[in-house]
Amino acid sequence: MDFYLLVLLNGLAYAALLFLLASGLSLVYGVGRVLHLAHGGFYMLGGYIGYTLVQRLGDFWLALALVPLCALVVGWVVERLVSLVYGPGRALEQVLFTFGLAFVISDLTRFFWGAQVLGVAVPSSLNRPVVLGPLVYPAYPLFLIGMGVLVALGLWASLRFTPFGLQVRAAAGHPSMAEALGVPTRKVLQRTYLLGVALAALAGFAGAPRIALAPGLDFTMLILGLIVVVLGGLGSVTGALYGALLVGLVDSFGKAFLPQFSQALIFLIMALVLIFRPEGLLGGKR
Amino acid sequence: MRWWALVGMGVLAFLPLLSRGYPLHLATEVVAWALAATSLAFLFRTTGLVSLGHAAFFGGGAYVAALITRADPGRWILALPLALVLGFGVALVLGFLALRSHGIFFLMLTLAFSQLLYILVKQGFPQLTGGDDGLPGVPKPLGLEDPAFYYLAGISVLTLVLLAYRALLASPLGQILDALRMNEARLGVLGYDTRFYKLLAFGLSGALGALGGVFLAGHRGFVHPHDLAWTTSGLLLVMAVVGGMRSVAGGLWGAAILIALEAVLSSYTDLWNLFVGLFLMGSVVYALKGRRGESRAGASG
Amino acid sequence: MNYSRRRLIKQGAALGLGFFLGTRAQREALRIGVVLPYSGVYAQLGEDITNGMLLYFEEVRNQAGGRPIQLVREDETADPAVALRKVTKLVEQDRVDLLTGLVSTAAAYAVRDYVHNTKNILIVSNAGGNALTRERKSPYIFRTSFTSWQVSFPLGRWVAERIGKRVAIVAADYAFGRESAAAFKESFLAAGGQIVDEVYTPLGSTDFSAALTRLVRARPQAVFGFLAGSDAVIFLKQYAQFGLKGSVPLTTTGFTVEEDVIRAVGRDAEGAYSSLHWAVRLAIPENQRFVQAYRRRFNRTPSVYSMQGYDTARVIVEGVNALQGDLANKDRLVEALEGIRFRGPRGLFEFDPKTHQVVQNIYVRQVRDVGGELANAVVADLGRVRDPG
Repeated sequence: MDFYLLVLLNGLAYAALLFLLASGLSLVYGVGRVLHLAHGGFYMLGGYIGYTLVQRLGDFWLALALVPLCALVVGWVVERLVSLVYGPGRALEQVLFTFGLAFVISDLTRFFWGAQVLGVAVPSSLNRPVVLGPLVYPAYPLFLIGMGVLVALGLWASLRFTPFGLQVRAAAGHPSMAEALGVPTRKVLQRTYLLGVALAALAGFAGAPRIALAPGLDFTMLILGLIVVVLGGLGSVTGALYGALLVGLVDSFGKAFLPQFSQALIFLIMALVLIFRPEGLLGGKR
Repeated sequence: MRWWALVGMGVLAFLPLLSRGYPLHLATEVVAWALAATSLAFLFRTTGLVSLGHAAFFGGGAYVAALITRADPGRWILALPLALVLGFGVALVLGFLALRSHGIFFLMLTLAFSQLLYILVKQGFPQLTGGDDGLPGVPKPLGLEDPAFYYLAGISVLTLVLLAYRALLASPLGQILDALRMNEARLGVLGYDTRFYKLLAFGLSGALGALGGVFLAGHRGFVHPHDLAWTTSGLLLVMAVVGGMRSVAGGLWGAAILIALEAVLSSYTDLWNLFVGLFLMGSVVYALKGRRGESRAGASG
Repeated sequence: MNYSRRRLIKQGAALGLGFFLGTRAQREALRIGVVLPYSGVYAQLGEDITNGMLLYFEEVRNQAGGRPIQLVREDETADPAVALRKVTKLVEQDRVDLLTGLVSTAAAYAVRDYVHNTKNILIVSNAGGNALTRERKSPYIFRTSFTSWQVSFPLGRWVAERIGKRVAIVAADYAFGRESAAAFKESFLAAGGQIVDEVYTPLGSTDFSAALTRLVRARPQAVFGFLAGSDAVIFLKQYAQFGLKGSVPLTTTGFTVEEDVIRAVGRDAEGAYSSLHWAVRLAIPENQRFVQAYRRRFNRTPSVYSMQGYDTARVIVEGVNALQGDLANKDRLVEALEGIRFRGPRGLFEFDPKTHQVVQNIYVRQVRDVGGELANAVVADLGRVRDPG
């Protein structure tokens, strides 16, 4: 029994990271119909920037607070570039452009940080086991789950109750109507992009104590992020949440019971979902 | 296409034969990738669907060829048609399952199928498929052992394929397929069975992708799970887009440009991916600028 | 440390040129084709091997057999097809005198037929798949690194005799991981050991909690783990987080606790035993000199890959010296290489003439804290190990 609980908690911790990564990806698509293939790059960049901050400042929590800010700065510059391919009917151009951007980020990261495997230590306050009934479980994954829940609540609230959230929902739901009603879609998209990038970078650093930093991490996470958003249905945060939970849990249980085929399991589920619900679990009704 | 362009292409095609060695190796690789990239562009041109799983056909064809011919080069006679039939058949099944989806969802669905095949080949049956070591020792077909002959055979096949592609576009069937991309619903209302044509296009695309894979396996002499991985699908997609999804020779140009770019850049810098990335971004911006000019001209005229 | 390849070649050529001006008419440069990963997941290994080679070449003032040495580097990436393409280029366009490199086993298998059929000498400086010494060996291919069998086989018996008879295995699910686990089992079972559980985890795993929980339930006296790169980092951290470090000894091959990995993991790696053909703290003068020189030159602790690059360079130089720089006859070069024997950082280095695989000592090391720095210290010498071929 406690074994299942443990596998469940692992899955949730992973899902929290995936949610942070995927919610931005999903929102950017929802608002601007831009498939942002460089999103995994920002995840990885967050991890590496955080690594350097921890080395320099010696404090995990300070680094955790600064990483999204650094990502905002980088994201602001990059958004200028990506905005060149905004627009309807440019799906192929966007794919090619952001894919190229992903290559650029990937190689620049290797240029600045090298190719060796880097690890971020678990902060000392969380580097201990926690007793949960019959189970002794490390504290850090619990922190990740908590952070995921907080971010999810925050996103939900800001989309629901702030003017920015209203604009996002309007732009995602009916882009042309929103434009006609005077919603500055271009600006909304820019802000959404920055939000997504900051969240991805945050996930990259928060995940670094559990997922080591190494070349190739960006494309691995990109594929996972895409799976999550497609499963949930593009364009909605709720979809990303469901998708992240599904992928996180399938991955965790798959690794526990069918380790060799756990990756296959995720793709199998994605295939099945898309065959029977061609627009994802929540597709079409956001 | 003008006659001088054709002559130019012909000359280019025969140039590697003079130097043999490395240029010939690269040119043969271009032929293999061009076949697969063309199959991807063909699918887009006819159905408007973009696949991120074409490595399944490309690598799949390569594995079929490798598994059959390793024991006996005489079996190439058998391997080639079998790979084509399998490519066609698998594409039909996949197309049947994926018919309802489109856009990014279709993209991800094809990705899922190809990754399943990738993991199966890599981890499912290592005794049969060689696992992640791949399968070495694939012979060239009898009579084509010389790399120059092999290349000539490839370029002839590629030429035939492109000519057939062009003829198809001009034929009534090609008109229907063109209409399929532009307005599927209207075509349906006109009484055409759009499903049938979609599946047909998908099947042809799968067979062509497998043909590229078969040619690749014979050229390199080995196959590896990498040929089935999503990065290979991604590269094929990039080739098709860079070359031009709508033009008949787009796949060929894209394959030639990207393989040449990678081969040259990676000899000079470890950051060659950076330059490939910049090239991709630059080519998109360039193309968009060009099109904006075009549409403006159209609007004023 | 990124420099363009062209610059590197110029440096090498200039050094050679400077040395030769005024002595006698310059002889044609010895062109060495180096195919290593400089991008992708194995990029660090490529850099380490290259640095090791550079260090040795600089020590012999960039010349071998009276010829200046010129390196032509090519990026193997993570794709065997690219490795084959690059080898073709080096041979047919750059006309190199011999080839070296190859980190990934699949790439080594991929280029094997081409190298064999065209009778080019290839000195493999990492790729450790068993088959290259066995059914796919070639008289033209030498290997200065290891085979998965060579590193893991001797450890099984040692663990059974010194650590415990009940062992659980966790290994990365790819050819090298499976080969390593099989070699360990072979000698471990023969020595009366018992495998209580076996788990194979996919490459690129982010989480080993489930695997670890499964292992714990089998109540082993020790764990044999084979993981590499970022998998190893995560595994070692979680091994400690689950409280296993200290209570269940971890035994592994040296790649799992390579110096890079230890740096990324920190204290959590302490105490792990591993078998390898080298250790930073191997206390022989040749090694101490090598480690010092490497640190001085690159401001970094050498890895086992750096050491392999260093020895590979030495093999090349000594082989070319034996023929006074005349490499026209490949069979004579093969003979010269077969006769190479020297004391290097790893101890006595010699080739098995039957398989062209290096015969070397395998050491048991343990990650220990000496003077505030974690590193592998040698705790046992398992003697000379020859791959049976």
